[in-house]
Amino acid sequence: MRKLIAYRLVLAVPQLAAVSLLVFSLTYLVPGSPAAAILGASATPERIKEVEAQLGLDRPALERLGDWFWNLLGGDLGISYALSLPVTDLLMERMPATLSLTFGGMVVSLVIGIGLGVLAGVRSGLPDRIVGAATSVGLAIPEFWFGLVLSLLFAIELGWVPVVAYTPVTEDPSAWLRGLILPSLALGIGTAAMIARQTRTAMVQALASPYIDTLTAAGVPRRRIVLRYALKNTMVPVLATAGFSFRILLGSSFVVETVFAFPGVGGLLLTSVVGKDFPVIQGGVLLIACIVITLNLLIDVGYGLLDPKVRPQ
Amino acid sequence: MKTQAGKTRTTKKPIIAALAAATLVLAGCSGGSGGGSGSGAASDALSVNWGGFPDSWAPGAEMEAGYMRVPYENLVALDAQGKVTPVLATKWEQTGKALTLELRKDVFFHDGTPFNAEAVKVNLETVQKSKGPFAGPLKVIKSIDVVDDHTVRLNLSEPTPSLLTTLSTRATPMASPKAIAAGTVAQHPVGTGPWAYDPKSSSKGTRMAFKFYPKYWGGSQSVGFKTIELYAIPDDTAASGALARGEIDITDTEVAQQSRLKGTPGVKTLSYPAIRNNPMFFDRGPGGVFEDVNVRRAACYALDTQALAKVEPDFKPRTQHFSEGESGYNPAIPGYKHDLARARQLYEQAGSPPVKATVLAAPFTEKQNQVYAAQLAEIGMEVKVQVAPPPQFFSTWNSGKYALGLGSNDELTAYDWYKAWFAADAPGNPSGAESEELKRAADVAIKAGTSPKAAELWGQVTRIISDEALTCGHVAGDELIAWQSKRVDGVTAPSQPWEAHMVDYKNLRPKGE
Amino acid sequence: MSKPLKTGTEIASTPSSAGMLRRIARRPVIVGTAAFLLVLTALAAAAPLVAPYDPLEQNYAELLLGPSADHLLGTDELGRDTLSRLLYGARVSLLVAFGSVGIAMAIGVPLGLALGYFGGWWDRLGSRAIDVSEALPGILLGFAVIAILGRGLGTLMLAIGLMFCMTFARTTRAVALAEREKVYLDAARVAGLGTPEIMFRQVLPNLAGPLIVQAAMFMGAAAVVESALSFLGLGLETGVPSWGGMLSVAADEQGRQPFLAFPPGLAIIVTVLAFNVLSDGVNDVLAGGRRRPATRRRTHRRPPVAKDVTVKAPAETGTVLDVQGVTVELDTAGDPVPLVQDVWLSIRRAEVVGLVGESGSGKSMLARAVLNLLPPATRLASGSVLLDGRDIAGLPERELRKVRGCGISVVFQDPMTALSPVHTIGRQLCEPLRVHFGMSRSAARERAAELLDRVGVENPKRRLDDYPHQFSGGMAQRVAIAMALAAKPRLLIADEATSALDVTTQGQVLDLLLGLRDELDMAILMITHDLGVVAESCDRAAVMYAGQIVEVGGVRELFDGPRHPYTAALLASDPSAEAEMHRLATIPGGVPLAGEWPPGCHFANRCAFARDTCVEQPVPMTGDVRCLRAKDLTLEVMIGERH
Repeated sequence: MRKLIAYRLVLAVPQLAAVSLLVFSLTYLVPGSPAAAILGASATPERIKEVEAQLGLDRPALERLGDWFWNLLGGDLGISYALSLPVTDLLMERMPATLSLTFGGMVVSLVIGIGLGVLAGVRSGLPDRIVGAATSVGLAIPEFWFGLVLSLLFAIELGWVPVVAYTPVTEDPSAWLRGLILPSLALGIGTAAMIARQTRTAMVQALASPYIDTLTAAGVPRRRIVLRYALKNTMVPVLATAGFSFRILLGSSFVVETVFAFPGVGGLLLTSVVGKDFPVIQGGVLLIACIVITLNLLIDVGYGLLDPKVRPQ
Repeated sequence: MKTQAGKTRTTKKPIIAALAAATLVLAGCSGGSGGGSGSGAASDALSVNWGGFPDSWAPGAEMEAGYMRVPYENLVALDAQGKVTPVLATKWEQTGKALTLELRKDVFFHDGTPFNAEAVKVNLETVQKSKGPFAGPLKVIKSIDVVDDHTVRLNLSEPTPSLLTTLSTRATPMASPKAIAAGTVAQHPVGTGPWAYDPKSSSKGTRMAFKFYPKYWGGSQSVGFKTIELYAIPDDTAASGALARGEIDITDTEVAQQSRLKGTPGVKTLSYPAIRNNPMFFDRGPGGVFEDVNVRRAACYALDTQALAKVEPDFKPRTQHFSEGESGYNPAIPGYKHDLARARQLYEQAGSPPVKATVLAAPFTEKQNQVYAAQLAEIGMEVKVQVAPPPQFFSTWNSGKYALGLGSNDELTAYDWYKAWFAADAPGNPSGAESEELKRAADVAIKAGTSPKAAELWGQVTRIISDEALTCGHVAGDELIAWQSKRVDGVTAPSQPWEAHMVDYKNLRPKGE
Repeated sequence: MSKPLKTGTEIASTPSSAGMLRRIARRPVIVGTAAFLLVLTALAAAAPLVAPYDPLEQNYAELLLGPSADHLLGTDELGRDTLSRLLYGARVSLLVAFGSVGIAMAIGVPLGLALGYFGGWWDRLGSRAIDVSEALPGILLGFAVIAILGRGLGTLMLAIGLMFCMTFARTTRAVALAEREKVYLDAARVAGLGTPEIMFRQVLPNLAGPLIVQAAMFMGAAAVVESALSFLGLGLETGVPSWGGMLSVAADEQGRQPFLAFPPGLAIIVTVLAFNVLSDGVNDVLAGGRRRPATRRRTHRRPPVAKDVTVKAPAETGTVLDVQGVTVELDTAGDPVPLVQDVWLSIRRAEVVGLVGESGSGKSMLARAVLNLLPPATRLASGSVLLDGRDIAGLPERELRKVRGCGISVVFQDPMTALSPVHTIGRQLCEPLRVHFGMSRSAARERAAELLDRVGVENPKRRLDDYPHQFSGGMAQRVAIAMALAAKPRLLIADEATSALDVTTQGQVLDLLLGLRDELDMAILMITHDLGVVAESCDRAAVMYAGQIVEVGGVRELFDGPRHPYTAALLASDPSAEAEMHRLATIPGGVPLAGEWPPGCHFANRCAFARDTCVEQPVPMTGDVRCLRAKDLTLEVMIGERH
């Protein structure tokens, strides 16, 4: 197991390096100069020079690249142009909300997705068909719209579910959890449908496998076979989908958070995109990429736990 | 919430952000731990919602009065009659050359730093250096002398009778020089006010808690509530619900919500004029889209503020920025009454140069901008509306990046208004263009100082501004505040005029047990 | 944000010929969704003609109205007509959908082709690059592109196109890699075609199918991403009607006019659904409609059994299994097709009975009928299965559970698939012990180790924690046997249990089984196509042909004096061939398929001795043989001694 993790870690390094290089070169892709983009068409050349100096754009590319990587090692992502604050601080301040929401969405999609998928996989006929139709619709629903409708219905009209603004988990875990209910539901619906489909397919495949017959013929109760054996075999492909889902959830959370006024990374990035605050955009892209790469690492380790064949002996 | 410029929000979509049960629990908890007095924990804490938080609490940033006046105080204030009254400054003496202020003693910032002449100097210089319109009226201060620890002299480059008024507004809060130097003041306000920010009981983006500062110079009897908690519920319906459920005590709201609130026992509302906004033709310099005065006039006649009032019932059309009784008011200013034929004629006179402009809107000015854009389209002017989140909006709408702008004009005096938006070096005049006539009139008015003729002379200045159509389409927006009268007493319109999202916090008293 | 994306592997990669269009036309779902999208496109294109109002026309007298005759879908916050805005908004959505997928394909397909075609370092580097690009959520990429280039229709298309292009590259690369290996490419190279020509002429047509599937799906995804970006205010300018922009307004005005959220929201859902269904449908067609596996095990309910055969008492005491008149049928759209027909077979205590026949003879189906493990769509049409005198056919699940494992057990052909790959064998081995004997975890483990030891697995205690893939085939089969034996069954069905093993291992496993038979006093039904196995291990044997047992008898008698022509033919062919027999060398023709059985003797068409009477009516089992001429014939095994 340790070997596997080490191997994956080694693989992640060039990936991270490539991403950060890409992110670094982002400012060079801006037509004209980033400073001009920030200031708008009416900016004077002097002012552009001034901002370029402020952003460090006037220095040679190689020198900047060196600094960029050196600062990265220290966790320094630069200074926001618009807010004059360290990008790392800005991002870290907002990360808990984003991760909470993504986590909530993941739980929702795993619970609903695996639940429905198992149901559809085990009970052919009507349940299968209903789940099939539901997942098709689920895949087509934009999360933010679903969030709108949920809030309209449950928060504004009915007042059933407390549509609580975000509370940090460190402050009050139960409030944190309650605040997550609707946003997570909204966020998780699409990936829940995705996971449900994958689970159903895998479950059908697992249930058609000879080992199910072996266990059945040995007199093991059906429920136990499905829940213990078929399910675990099903989880191997579902894990891949779950990893894939995480990335989608992370991205979608940027949109859903605005619906529920979560103080997450999405809002910061949105402001930065409009304001062309390149340091923040670069930092955000890099941070999110790091999270995804880390998660992929965890997924690979999860494979090792689930599927013994993956483990190096 | 209505479309009011100058309103600060951190989030774009006013959907929910409501704090239902959970925050109620939180409010109770922190209230209990906060006050520590024996008069019942719950009533010690006041929960107020203005729909968002300022992006920066630094002096010079556009933070609204309702936020600013919790931790911060000014040197002076205006009372209900518009008279300047002492706050951190106890006495003052003004000449055409200088304003000398005597400062209150034994005042401390929340971080323990003493408030003194040096602190005043640092604060005013910080605002002078800031990018927004607040810097404009302070440009007149040539230098600041620390006479002694509690006396400060502001040396002026020209007579500025309105400077004291400026010092009473949200343009000049007094913040701890230490926090300013450290840069932390943007996120952690440190002032001299009765309530000090308490990050430990706050929740980023959701709630900011302010607790009574034991060393407050006014003493503990000067306030009714020991804790003030600010909330950010951007959606009006959600805020109404929170008020009805007792999760918050005071909130801003809008006319459409009144029917919803009517049935709630104890909820009272109050409205007062709070916001003045008007489109600004920023790109009026040589070669600019709005260089030609007739193009600007054509645009002004095309605008229909009466139509806007149908979309935004809170907005009342006006002919000019100032109200009767204020410096700069001129009854002779006709304004631009909607007249399409006149607009077309003027546009033709100007040779119908193509007008293509982009205007930056905040989410809360989006509608107003769209209405104006559609009205300008009637005479063939093409205005694109771009929406940006509030922080972006505040930092760029008047930066010169956009040819046209629509935002709030806070200025209480003609001097400030002129210095903020129309003088050649005004921060709100990115093109730097100013007509000889305007300059001359302003110079004369400034020279008049405190003489009785000054008011009339400033009326001339505003008349020129209107005639040159540097701005038009004036509207005034009402602030509508709803509160739970079973728990809060003493809610009145703020005495300081034209401040949005504001109540006089110190007058508020807990009611009932 | 690119959420409903299937992974490339799910997409059928076998494009088919000209019949595809016809097959598509036969599917109402595809035709319906395609028609819907066409109509939507037409409406969007004709929006200026169709829309009742100018989408930008503000009307301050009619703000935030609900649906009415004047405004079918109501008005928005500036009194603009929602229906008109919806129609104009469709333009943006569709334009962005087509444009972005076009860009994605323009970038992704050539890239994938190049990687797949050149292979080697190019491929490795390129694939890494694709991996890197996948570390980013799509919407973040969109943010970055918009930050760099500013807002606008072109930027929107490019941003979304870039999100998707890597998936296209991946799919293309996979297809190109596969095609590269194919012979015709070499042939084409020899024929003098240049490299680019080969790639485009040969590989591209094979890509068409998967690409269409993916393109349709991504168009739906693009519509969602566009709406999300417009919702955030990163799309087109404010005021330009787009579905996402309309939702943004709906969010602002939710408290005053909740209806606003629904027209654009439902428009997005229906459009995306249409793209997805179209994609799924085309994929189905490409896969030949086999997407939903036909073999789904029916879960609980057993098919009803028609008891038209009187159950007889076991012929003699000591009979463990008595199969009486079992007929298994496959349910089809038309008449049910018999797979096993009127089979009678009994097995005594500790007896080893062989069941031989070619593949397709129905022997495994018979075994499954005995085990109550019939595959879906097949059912026991009639007959009884008596275990120790008790009819177990059609018992409810709960009762069956008591019989399975300790009454009847089974060992399947492939031990690797017969054991769950993700569970330790210890865990699987413990299952029957815990179920049948209620053993504690530790006791079951103890016993499992003993069982492993008994079947000849070394280091049994340690190996309990191993996974099936850590065993060799022979060892794994021993584990499977141990599992089958765990609950001490009265009867073990060995369904081709040794067929997959090499000859040496086969012998060892057979010896093991026979040893266990003696030790546990257990009967064995040995299903095999290998006469050698029968000769080596069985007391008696039954020969099956086309769903029927044609002859039963003691092994010696059967081998020495077969009475059915088929038995004789079987013995004459090379019986110890490694692979399954597909045809008998000595006789022409093959086993008739189920459903094509003649009414008379099933073997008649291949039988050298057949007469007219043989084909007229069903041949009953007479004595131990199912042949009208059994008494007339004396058959000899033509090919000499058996080993």
